[in-house]
Amino acid sequence: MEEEQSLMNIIFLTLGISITMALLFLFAFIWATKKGQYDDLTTPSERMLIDDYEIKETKKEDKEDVDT
Amino acid sequence: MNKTTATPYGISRGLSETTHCQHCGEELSLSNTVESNDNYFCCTGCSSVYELLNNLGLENFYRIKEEQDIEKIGRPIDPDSKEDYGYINQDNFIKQYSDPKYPLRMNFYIEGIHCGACLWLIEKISDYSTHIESVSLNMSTNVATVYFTPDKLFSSFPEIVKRFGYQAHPIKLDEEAQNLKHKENRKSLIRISIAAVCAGNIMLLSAAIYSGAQGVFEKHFTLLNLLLSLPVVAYCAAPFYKSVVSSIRAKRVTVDIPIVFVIVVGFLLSTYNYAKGSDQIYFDSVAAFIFLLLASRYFLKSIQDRISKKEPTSRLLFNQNKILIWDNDNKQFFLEPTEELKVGQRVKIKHGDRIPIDGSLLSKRAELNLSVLTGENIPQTIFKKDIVFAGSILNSDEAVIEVTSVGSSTRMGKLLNEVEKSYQSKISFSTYSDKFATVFTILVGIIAIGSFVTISELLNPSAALNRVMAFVLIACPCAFVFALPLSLGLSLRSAVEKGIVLKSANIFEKLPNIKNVFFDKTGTLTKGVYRILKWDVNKLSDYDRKAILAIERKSDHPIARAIVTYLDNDEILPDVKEFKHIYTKGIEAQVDDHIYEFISENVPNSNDINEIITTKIVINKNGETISELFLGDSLKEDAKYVVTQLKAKGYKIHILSGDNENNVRQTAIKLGIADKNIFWSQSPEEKSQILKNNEHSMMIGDGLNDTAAFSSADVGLSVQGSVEESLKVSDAYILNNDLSSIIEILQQAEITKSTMRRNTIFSIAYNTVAGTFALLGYINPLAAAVLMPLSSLLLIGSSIYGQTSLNIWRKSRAL
Repeated sequence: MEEEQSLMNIIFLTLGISITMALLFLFAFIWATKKGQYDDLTTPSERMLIDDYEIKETKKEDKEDVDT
Repeated sequence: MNKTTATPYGISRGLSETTHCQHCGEELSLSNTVESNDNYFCCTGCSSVYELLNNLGLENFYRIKEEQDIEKIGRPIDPDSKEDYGYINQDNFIKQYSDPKYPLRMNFYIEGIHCGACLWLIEKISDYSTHIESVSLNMSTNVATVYFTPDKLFSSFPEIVKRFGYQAHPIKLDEEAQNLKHKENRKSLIRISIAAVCAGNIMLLSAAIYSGAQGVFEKHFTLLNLLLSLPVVAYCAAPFYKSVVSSIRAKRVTVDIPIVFVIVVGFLLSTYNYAKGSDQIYFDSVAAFIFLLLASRYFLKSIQDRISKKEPTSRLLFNQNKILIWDNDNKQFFLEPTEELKVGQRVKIKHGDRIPIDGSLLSKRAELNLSVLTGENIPQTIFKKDIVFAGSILNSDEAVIEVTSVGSSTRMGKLLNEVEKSYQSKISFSTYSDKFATVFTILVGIIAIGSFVTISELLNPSAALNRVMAFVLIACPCAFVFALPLSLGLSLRSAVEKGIVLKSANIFEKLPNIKNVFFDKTGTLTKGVYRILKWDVNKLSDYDRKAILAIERKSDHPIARAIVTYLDNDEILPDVKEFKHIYTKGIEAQVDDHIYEFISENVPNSNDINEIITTKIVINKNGETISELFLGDSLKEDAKYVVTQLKAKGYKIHILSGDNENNVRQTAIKLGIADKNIFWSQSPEEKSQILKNNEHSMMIGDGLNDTAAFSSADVGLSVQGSVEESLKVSDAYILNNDLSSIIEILQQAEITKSTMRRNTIFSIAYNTVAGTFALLGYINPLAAAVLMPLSSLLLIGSSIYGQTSLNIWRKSRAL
């Protein structure tokens, strides 16, 4: 009887932990969704493929060049 | 294909350097190569964008392009021509196009975006201009949000973008609509995520129960399941309740009714049984069912959304934002936003502009290209008081027009409105599934009530209730509610990969019924390029050749342009005197003392397989014929193959064209299309009527002039070369300029239809067998829990198998 009691306790403890963890992830996901992280799925996936190339410094000087 | 593999930093360009355009990757032919500093380009546009990017230190554009394995991008849109964007800086324009909350922000719709490299380039603009603070581009809508510096030079952005070879149009974003859409999207994602978490945990606990958890474990696990399924039933399934309420209001039977019935009854019955201590518990089935439903619907919707994005139709047509309007007080024309235009005002249209209004001509005469309405490229001459239609392009120098109607009340506007309306109604959820689901729902209802009465008579009401509930639960409409959207979604995606963009999935239900195929001629079966097919130039003396070139350079007529391109070189040309048009006949001009005449005549058929001669020009010098040339269009290379294949498959082929009898007949003879199936000189309205008269018809065309026809046909298919608007109004759009995609899409529709049929048959069989067992009382919760997901999995597998068999067909065809 005592054995079953302790077995039950441990099972419900782990159950509680697992459900809490699931809920944590769920809330993280909901938070991310509400922040708009899943609104545009096309652009970020393209953007991450582009390495951040810096523009050559020497040429940056003529900033006005393109404003004609 | 001489595809070079992308190496980091793009050093080994290998072959492509000499045979492909450095900027856009277009294959180069000898006649159209432009050389500049040892680099080769397909046009001067490409070469100037290339130089600009290099001068600015933006050559990483090409590195990114290469790293992402992009071989070909679109050609730049006329980067060298100057366009006056000054109107954007006018106060009343800014008031309309910017949000008072963010006075330094403006949104632009950008034409010509194709890849990540474009994204990089556009967003880098803010590093280059002192007027632009930041740029962020959304690639799914092609809208760039630009923040400007306080000097508010809004025109600076479209000007720079233009030099990079794109075109930016300021747009008003309907922010409220946009936010609403985002909100909805987020909500459904949250619903799916909650359903997933709860259903997953319920499954785990149920697995424990099925594998023998007893006593206190079973009791508590079941209670946990009950608690976990509460949010799923109460919150996640809410859209289904809403749809049922509205469908009851509209007195329609939809597939959502049995869904809600299953959810509500399954949940209540399980709760009741839990309280009673009985083991008839279905929380796991209910939660998993809701999750699968939500996920499959979201999948289909996101595919549909991605395809039907972009701009409203009429905006694209009238994309000039400004127009010269006569100001009576100041006695001169001013540039004003087109939207402010009112009936009765006078506007001045310049050469090459598209006319945005209907009106009557005030100038003496004008030459108009009506291809948007008629599909034919040869300009028409109109005179004072004649009616001018919106959408036509001015070919002569300039014209003053009095406005008679604007915007959506123009002939073109009405046409587009009608088309958009019928398009809206076409998007409805799959008709096939709705029909079957209705029958299914009613059937299940009748059987449930009938068996409840019978079993209560035979046994007792409580047993009857239990069995009937089990029956309704088991009798799953999943074939219609998620297997079907899934298989349609898969077909949609695979079509997109093949360069066929479909507007809505229900094209697959309509395509197998098609019996009549109607082709437009110009631009669909033919290349739509007016060029010289035959001309013995060598017989001409050098003097005559130069004279002809000099004369033809004076004219903007397509024939003249074709002749100029044919002869063009940079020699010094003689002076031309007395240049004049002889209406409907040709032109006449004088060089030195010689009078040259160019007279056009209609011609007999050509013997060549692909050529369609439309015009014969006779050149007379001082009244004596010195040369003859033939102009026309030619068939697309695969036109004959496609027509033959379609005929072999038993389709009836027709040609429906706005062009004249001779040209249409020539085309028909070359393609082997029967004489009684060709229609010529058809206005858009007449085309539309013919399609209405023929059932099971598919229209394949291009250009705006076919839009009305598209919406009258059961299926409208537009091919490349058409204006972007036709994508809005046709059911499908072929991106790769490949007519054989038509065969591909028909095959795909056949396979999709057979997948759907297989799924329906399976679902009927499953429901009959399992339903019978449930009514006989043989189905316990364990059996239900195994059967329901199993049947769903089988259906999903069957849908995926359908797609695989299509791929096998494709391979066999390629071999």
